[in-house]
Amino acid sequence: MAEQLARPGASAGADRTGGGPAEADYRPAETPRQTTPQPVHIVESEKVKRAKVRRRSLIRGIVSVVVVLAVWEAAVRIFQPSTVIIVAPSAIPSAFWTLAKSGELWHHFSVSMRQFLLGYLVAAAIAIPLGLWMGASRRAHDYGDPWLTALYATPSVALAPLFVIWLGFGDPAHVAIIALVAFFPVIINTIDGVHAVERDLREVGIAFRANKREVFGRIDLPGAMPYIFTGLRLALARALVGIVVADLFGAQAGLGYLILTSSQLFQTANVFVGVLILAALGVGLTFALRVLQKYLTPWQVEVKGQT
Amino acid sequence: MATNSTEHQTQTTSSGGVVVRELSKHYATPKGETLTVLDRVSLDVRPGEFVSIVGPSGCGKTTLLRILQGLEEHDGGEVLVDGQAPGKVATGFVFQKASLFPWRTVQRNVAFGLDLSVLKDTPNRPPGKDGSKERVAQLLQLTNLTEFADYYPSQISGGMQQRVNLARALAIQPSVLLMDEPFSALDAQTREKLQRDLQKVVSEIGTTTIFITHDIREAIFQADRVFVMASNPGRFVKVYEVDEKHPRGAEFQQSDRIAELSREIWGLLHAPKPEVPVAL
Repeated sequence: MAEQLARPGASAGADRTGGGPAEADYRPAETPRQTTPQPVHIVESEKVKRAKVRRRSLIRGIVSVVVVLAVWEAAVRIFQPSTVIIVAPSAIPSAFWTLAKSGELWHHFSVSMRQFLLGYLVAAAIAIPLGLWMGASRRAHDYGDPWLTALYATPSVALAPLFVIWLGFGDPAHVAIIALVAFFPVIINTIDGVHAVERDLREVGIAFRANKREVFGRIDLPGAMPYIFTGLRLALARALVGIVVADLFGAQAGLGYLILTSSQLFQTANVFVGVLILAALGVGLTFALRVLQKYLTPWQVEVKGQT
Repeated sequence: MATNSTEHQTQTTSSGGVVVRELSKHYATPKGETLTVLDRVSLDVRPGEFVSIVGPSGCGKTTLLRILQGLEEHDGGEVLVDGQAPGKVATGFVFQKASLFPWRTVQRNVAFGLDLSVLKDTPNRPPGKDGSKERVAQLLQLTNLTEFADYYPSQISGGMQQRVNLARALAIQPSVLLMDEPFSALDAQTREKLQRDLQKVVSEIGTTTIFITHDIREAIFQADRVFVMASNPGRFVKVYEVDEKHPRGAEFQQSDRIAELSREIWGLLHAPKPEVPVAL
């Protein structure tokens, strides 16, 4: 067959995935592409090249981290600043260990995680259906858009004191603040996602005489999925900020509270422990979301979205 | 104004035929003027017939197809697809863009129409899940896609995507197949191959087909009759019969008969316009 060559677009798609399921489809040994040796060869060598590039990127990343930490460590040892201002990176693990052993760290962590998960899930549970509705229905969009635009332009943090007034100093206010900041990236990307579903695809549905429900469920929804995931990923980062912000407005425990009180007590090492845990959470959860995305939208991995 | 449209008054209005009588379509231009895209166009396609329509760009061929498909309203005249109003009958269509669903694999794309509730209780839907599966498998076989059943559209070539598109259109066993420059985005070699593939598929299934293109040779190669359109306003100017058995192969594709006929049609399409504009 003449057209068995993979299109350039297809291999670019595989590139974006950075390995994993999509790329597995190019394994020549298992695909019918084996019958045309030349393209297989090209695909294979490209794959090797990409793996090399990836490995090089990884090495550079590690070098960067190690160098910065080494410089930091060396600077602290040479200049010996007060531990109130900054501590050496080597002091952080011991601070972590002390906090962890006492059970204090786990307490802060679990309180924050509970608030985070609740807030994030509430945001997703409201933003995704609402966004799908606003994306698919002109009328819903017209009614909802002024609110969305106005609230999105308002720094959500400014609304945090209101939640404290309404809901008190406990968990509900924290959850509400986290949900609020996570809400906007999800809903905006979901709406965009529905809008981005090509008109052609919707017309295919109409021409096949699919009813409205089918056009929505079989075309709009799967078409918007990559965007929804982008929104969820952006929301993740904002929700982590939300954890800290919520703790600023009164808390008895939580990672933000740990950072805040430690800094007030000049326990700078403990501040770094809190910050690093938040950073690790961000990386870990983003990775988890990517895995989920690869599983749920195997045809495509990501699209760029707005915050 | 009298048009040159050639009317073929065949007596058939039975299943699978298309009847278009005195069809007109107007658009409002941004300036507020009325643009006549189709001016009292008539066309009669017999069941099982393959009709090609050629014409310059902007002559309204695509508009005609969209009306037949029920995607656009018409302003005057009568249109019957398989004896019913457009949009009421299962029509298959293949456009220039394959427009496959990127989230569905090749075989799930082909099965798309079969999943829809509109086919329920019609003879177009095969009985049960097994029936659907079998039909999809048959179409994949017919379009040489069996090996690629589990690929996503982004992983296959443009020519293959267009074959998936064709299989998807045929899966609902449409009474009429509408094709709008399906191969024009492909390279010449792939295009010629797909033209032969289409011959094979359509002659096996025997679906009434209306095929729009601006490739004259392609139009002749496929069709029982070639309708030539002119623009401003869109109308038919001549009809050519192509007397050759289906399925037609590479030999006919390269034959002198096609070359001759195509020269003639080319001449017709490129004839100088009347110097005095025809009054509307």
